Amino acid sequence: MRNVRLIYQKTDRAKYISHLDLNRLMLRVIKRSKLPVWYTEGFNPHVFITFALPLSLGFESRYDVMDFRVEDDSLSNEDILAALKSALPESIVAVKVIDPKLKAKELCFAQFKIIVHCDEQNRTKLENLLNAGEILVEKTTKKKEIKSFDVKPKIKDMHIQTTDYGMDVTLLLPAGCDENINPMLIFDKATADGIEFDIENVIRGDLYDKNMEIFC
Amino acid sequence: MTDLQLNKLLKGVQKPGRYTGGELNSVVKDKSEVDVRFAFCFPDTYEIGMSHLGMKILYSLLNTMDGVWCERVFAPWPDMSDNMKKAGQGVFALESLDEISKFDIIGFTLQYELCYTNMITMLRDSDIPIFAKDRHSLSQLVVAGGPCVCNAEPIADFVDAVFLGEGEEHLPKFVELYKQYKKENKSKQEFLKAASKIEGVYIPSLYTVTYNDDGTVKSVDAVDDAPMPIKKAIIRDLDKVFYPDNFVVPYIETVHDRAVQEVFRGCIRGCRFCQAGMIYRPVREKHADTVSKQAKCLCDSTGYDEVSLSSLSTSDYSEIEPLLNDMLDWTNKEKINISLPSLRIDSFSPELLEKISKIRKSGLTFAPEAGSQRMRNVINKNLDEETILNTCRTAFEGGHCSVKLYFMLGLPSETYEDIEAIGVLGQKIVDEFYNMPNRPKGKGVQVSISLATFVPKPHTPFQWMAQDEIEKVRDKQLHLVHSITTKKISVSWHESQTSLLEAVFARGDRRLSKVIARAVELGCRFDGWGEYFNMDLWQQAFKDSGLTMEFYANRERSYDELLPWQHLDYCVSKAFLMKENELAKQAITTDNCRQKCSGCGANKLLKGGKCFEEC
Repeated sequence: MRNVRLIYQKTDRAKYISHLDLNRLMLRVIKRSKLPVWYTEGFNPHVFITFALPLSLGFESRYDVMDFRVEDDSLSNEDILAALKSALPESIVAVKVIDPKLKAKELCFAQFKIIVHCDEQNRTKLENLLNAGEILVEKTTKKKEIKSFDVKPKIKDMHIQTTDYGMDVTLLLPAGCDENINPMLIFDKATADGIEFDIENVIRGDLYDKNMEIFC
Repeated sequence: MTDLQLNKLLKGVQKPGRYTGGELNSVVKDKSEVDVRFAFCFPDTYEIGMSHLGMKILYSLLNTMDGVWCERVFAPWPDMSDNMKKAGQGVFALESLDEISKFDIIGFTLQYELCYTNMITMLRDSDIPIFAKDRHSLSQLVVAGGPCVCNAEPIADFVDAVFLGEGEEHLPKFVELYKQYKKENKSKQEFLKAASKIEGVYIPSLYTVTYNDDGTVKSVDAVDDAPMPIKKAIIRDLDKVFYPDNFVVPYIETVHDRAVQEVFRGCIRGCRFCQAGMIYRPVREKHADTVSKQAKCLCDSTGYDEVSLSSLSTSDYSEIEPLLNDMLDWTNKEKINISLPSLRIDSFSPELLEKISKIRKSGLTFAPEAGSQRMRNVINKNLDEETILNTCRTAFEGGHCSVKLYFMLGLPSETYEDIEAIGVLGQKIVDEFYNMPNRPKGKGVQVSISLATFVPKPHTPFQWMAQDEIEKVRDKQLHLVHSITTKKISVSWHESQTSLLEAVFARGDRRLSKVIARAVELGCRFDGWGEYFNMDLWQQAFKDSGLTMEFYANRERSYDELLPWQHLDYCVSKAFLMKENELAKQAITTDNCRQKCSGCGANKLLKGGKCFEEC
């Protein structure tokens, strides 16, 4: 038995599959693939799968990570990839199967690309907001209290590209077990400030460890 | 509609996965190679519609036809519906995202009366004229099927054609004929006239209805040579009938999120309140090896880890033991659960229980329907208290400690003693648990009683009976609650207002079409959902149309009265229904179909006129 890691992408309409639904979907994919995967040994045995970093509903992803275990060591990563590819729906794309090197808790950062539609005036307002020394946003805590905090120091890296429809914003944000920052916090703040824009898409790109190496 | 437009519509909408399509096994065809586009509409939410077996079967079947593309359509939830209205977007099909107004045939499956307003709302919001007489071209043909159409009269003015009986039989013939008439540029009138000759196809516009001064039906007459009566169509050999080898697998969780394998149609029990038990006659079984093979195929193609064996009463399946033995071989190996819905209490043998307990412990649910033996005899639910208690004891010994029981209030001839008997039965089940010498320590027992309100349905022996008025039902509910003294028994019930509306539409006539249209105008939709059901609006709609609910629901009808659905022939004779109703009045039971043929008439649908080999 060995651990394997699937790298996959959620594209197109698959972004409307919630994390819980994705979990059930992947269980069915594994069942259809007929791969000899490891089942838990409890009272109701079920396929063991874990996800490194759940994705918000409505986001696409380019580097999503799912781990599971395969009973038959003679199967190569390529065999496993082929079996999964044949069982996945169109909008979830299997990229590769690898031997996991890092543990999920070593995941530290995620890159997000936000495609924003707006006019020039509002673009300037958004740019000002993003470039300010402090971005105070509101977050609901687990105790259902609304907490205000400065998100600016959390942004590890930011790029703004002007486009003909508005702008593309690329953000590198903390992600993983210890701390998670949802990029929508910043854009919700912009909406609250009266800035008008439409978000066409949010795409989560690569995942990184603490040394900014690709998580693998 | 483009993906980008869809993205915009979905902003802030709950469960966007309801509207995005693209699921595994959904069928996308090349529009340029399609002659007939069929929009299969389920007038309720995605989660409910996608759990419905009939839709899965007919969707797959229509898509096997050359030049035919069938797509799925569900009623958008009010949040999405409001977004769509703002954007000028009509109701759309999930495969192509095209609006239903672009389709040749728009078919609705009507599973319960309270979805009628959704059907009309879906048409209206897509700019399709809701009344059949206002749609003139052959395209946008609105058709309907499902159990509710056994009395299609309340919706008769909206639809162009109605399918009585089983869709696998007449739907392909109907679509094939449509294809031919479309190619030949024939008119809608010409097509409907030709379609009326297909068995099971009812064209309401070919019949005129007149009424007496008191509001009852005076006559139903066929125009020209339209068939009279219109007879339902059935599949004779279930082993040979088409069954899909895959299902569309939803992304979001649906009500029945598992593979569903049909075992048989019809029911041997003749419960007198039960419409399904009458209109799906005669009983036709699939062989155990067919069932097992089809179930395995479905599990392989969908990846589900649970399969349910579906029928009106699966424990009455004559090959249940060989089937379970056969299926357990592969289900255990592939770690797949078998779930058996609607198990009947009196055929729940210890051997069967043992086999099920090997799979997984699920909830224990029984439907005695009535508390007293007299009442159970009236409704012909042939089961006695001893059997119920024995079954519960067996279940408790097998480790169960909660039981759910379904009952009906307002049954014909019901007294307050009959109602108290429900609580007494619950108490006896509780006692049964505590009388067990080796009961699990520290564990209590919970008996949940769920109360429905009796709705008299057409084509049943109780089709002439009156429904209790709302106040009476409320009083009965309270009476039961007050008669229960222990916390081990909990009681819940359905809102009786929706049952009243159900009763009205179940036995309504054509004049109700205008009530439905008015209710939709007033904003009624999703009436089956407590948060949207609005009795005040419905009362307004009836008032505006000059009709009353009481006329349809709370009036006992005489055997002489011409019933609005009498021209729709479900092959169970009026004489049989009358005989059963008379036996009910004397609390005399009738044997089940396997014990003794009671001569309902449905056997004539089969070759040789025999439901069972031995009879």
